[in-house]
Amino acid sequence: MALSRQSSTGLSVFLTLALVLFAVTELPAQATLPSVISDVQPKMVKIYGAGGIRGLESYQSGFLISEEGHILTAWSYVLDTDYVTAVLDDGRKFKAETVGADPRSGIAVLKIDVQGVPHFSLQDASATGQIGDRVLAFSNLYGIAAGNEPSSVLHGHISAKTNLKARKGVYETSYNGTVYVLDAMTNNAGAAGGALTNFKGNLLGMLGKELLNSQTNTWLNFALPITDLKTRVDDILAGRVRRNEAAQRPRPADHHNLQRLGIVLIPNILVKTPPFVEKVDTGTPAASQGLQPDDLIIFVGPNMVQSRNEMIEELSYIDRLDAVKLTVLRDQELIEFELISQD
Amino acid sequence: MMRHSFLTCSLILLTTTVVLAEQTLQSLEQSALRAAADRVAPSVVQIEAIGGLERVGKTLVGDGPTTGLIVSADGLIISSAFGLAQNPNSILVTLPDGQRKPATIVSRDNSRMLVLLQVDTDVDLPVPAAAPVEKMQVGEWTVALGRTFSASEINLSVGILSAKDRIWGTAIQTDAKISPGNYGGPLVDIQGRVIGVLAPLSPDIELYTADGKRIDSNLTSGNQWYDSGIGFAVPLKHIFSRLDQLKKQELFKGRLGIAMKETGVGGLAEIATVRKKSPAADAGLQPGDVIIRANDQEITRKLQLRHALGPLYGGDTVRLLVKRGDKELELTPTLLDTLPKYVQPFLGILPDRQAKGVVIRWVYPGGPADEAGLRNGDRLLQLNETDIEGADQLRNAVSSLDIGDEAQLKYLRDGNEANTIARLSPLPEAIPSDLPPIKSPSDETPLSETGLIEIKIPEEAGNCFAFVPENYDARKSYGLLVYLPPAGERKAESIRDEWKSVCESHDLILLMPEPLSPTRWEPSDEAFIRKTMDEAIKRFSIGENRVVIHGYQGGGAMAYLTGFKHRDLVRGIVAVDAGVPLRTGRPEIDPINRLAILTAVSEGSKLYSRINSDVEQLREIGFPVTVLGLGPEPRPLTASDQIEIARWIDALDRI
Repeated sequence: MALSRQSSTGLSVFLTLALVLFAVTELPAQATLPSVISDVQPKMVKIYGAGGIRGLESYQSGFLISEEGHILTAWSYVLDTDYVTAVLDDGRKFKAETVGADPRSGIAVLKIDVQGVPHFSLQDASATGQIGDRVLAFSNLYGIAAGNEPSSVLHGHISAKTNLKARKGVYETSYNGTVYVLDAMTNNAGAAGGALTNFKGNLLGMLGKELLNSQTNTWLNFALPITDLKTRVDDILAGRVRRNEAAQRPRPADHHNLQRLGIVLIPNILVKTPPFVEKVDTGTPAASQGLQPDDLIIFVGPNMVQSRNEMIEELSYIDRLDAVKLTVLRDQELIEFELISQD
Repeated sequence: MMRHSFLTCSLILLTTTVVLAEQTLQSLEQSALRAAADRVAPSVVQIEAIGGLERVGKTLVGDGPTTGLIVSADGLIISSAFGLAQNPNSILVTLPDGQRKPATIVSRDNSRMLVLLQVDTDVDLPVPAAAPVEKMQVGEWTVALGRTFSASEINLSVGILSAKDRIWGTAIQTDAKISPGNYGGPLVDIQGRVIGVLAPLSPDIELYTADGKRIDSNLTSGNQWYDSGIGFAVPLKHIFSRLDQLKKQELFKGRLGIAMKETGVGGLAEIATVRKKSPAADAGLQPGDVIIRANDQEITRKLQLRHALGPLYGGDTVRLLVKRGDKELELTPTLLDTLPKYVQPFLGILPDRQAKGVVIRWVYPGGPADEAGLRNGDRLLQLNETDIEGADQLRNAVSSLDIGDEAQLKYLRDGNEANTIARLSPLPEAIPSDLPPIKSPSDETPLSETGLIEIKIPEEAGNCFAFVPENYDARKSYGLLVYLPPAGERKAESIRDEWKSVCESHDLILLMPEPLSPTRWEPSDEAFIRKTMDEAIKRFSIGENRVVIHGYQGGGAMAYLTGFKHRDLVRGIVAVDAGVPLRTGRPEIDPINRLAILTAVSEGSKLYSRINSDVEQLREIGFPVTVLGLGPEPRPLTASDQIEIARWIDALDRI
């Protein structure tokens, strides 16, 4: 009995060791969710500054991006004072200087006088999220955490990846680029500047400012991808002011308009009168291609036009030497036209 | 030593397997949810609406994309009515392969806020499988899909099944984030089957749209819960089962035409009134009947009956088992989309509030009771050979009759019993010219707290004051006048100064909730107003038939909104220079929860024509609407207007 027990114990030890080795080699850097979270927390910063007037909170969130105390945060009125305070996860309190800001992308970099702090390395930040990925959002939303209290963690999923500016006039944002839309209530007061990570703790993005969808009157939860912010942070650190790429669509000096194409739309009676054709002038490109009264113009090129004004604006982006592609709805049928200016 | 290393190793193993299991579970779940979404994604389309009503107040509405779900291979698509609320000129559908197709509205399921669209297609479109919702359990994973951020890629949010049989048995509930971003899209289970179609439903149902069309749900109210952890979906299984019917006709919630006795939430399903010419009346239901079974569902409480009838449409037949006295009867009414118009019948008296039974306080000159020879002070004993126990019971009994019906009355005058017959008329709209005041039971006024009193609602940030007149006597019953000022200007002291003398002379308690926002009333303030009313009713002696919300301009619109929402409490709305908020549904007549409207308007008001059309519409539905002319130019109310309003409130407990 004693012998057999010993040998079976020996076997167990062997098996156990084998399994441990197997598991460890298989999963080199894996960690539990609690350990991922406790690894991220020391990199988070609570930021206090201007505000405090009705409806405007005087705090936001940020995270460390260098061991010398650089902090990435949202560019906002909170930083609009000489006395910005940064409180680290361990409760240490510092006066923060603004190194620089990129208002167009809505980020700012602060610096505190400290050495050897835990931080996210932007150089190594290469993780991107896909729709459906589980994510963690770290921030001091509603200013709940104070002193050495850790920031709040929310979990959720990446709901969509989208360019908010592409939705004309729906979101008041100057950020031109893809953002992660999230299915958790991450973007509440004070959350801007917080960190978005995946379930392994890899930095994915920075939580954006509160943003209202003006069409549906609903608030959006989103984060700016860190892979896109990297170069802008580098620019700020290097003191470069980047000219904003693709900020404005180029408008050719000589562009198309309704008159030249020979299209008369119904008058602007509503705020967003749909672009219905009222009449087509004879001898014009519209007439020769066969546009008719009552056609509803739906697309100019690839862009949907939902009103008379949008149609006029879209035409102003097309050089007069180029053809204008129109898609119209006629008797429940979509018809495409290509109009070329004659003169 | 050996043992020690064994233990250590085991512990390491244990920890590592836990880590391994957790990571594996997490990534497996993530991939499973994504796979489930991908399975349904080919059936999820983007819908864009062009034109239609865009401007509502100062906000442009809904021309952003919305989501739809393919429900037949030949191009039927179901979506939420929310995204198409603006009655667009044209609708475009982008199929997952990128093709854009014009779509037409085929039909609507108004009881579930769904719209059925049709696109032409040469190829068979992918129809998703429906999940067996009846077998699903609360706590299972759900993924909500939309196609609003991009036509080529879905957006998703993840949650669990929170509840089944919500919104009177029509919907299931999830905690996934549901918003205009995915209304009309599918809620998917972890196997990639569609549980339901997402829609901003709300338990507030049975309304008319702003243009007077009957619908069953408020097109905007459910959206107040967007992204809140409460989202609803209409089971796809149900949609499939009724698709053929929906293709042919618009569906509405089925109406029976009964009102339940006020017996509290747990009370029996006892009928208080049966509406004339309704399915209930045609099937032979009578006041006093207790419904004990509906189809196969046992009914022991009246809420169960609402759940049993909730999912049914007009045209559906329901088998009811009814208890009448000692007998049980089976009746099978066929529900209707819309009940015949109902106008509250009127006997033409005000009851004496301090008397037991029904003693006439005042006879309306020229009204049915007057014509029948009744006088102030007469005691009513019987109506159509049924004993009269009190004013509420008499009011309900009269409500079950029809305009023009004969009411046989037995009454007592100077100790002698007599009989007469009154022919019922519609409720009057004119304000009585003079009403006998109600005296206190004795000269001695008991001590109570009077003056401006702060009403604190512990969980709410909003401020509210009540004004209790100095001659307040808790033994009398008071009218509650809730005053909603235009936001941002008025303080409780100045409102009190204006209303003080009227409150004293006409037994009114003034309640003054303030909007949460300093600049305007928000629709969500309605909940706070309700709480202040409940609190006032708890603290003061308020007559339940005389709870009135009064507002000026923005406050007037808020008064409509709050009054329409809290029908169980509010009996009157007084709107000064204010219309019914656009996009707010119109409520329907409820014989038990009566609602009268007084609108004060001047010809020079910007809203003059809109208010006129509101009045017309509300009258068309059957509400008594009193119009108080303010002359050619807009002006605030004068003391004599206030007295008129006070008298109107005093008469709201009319029978």
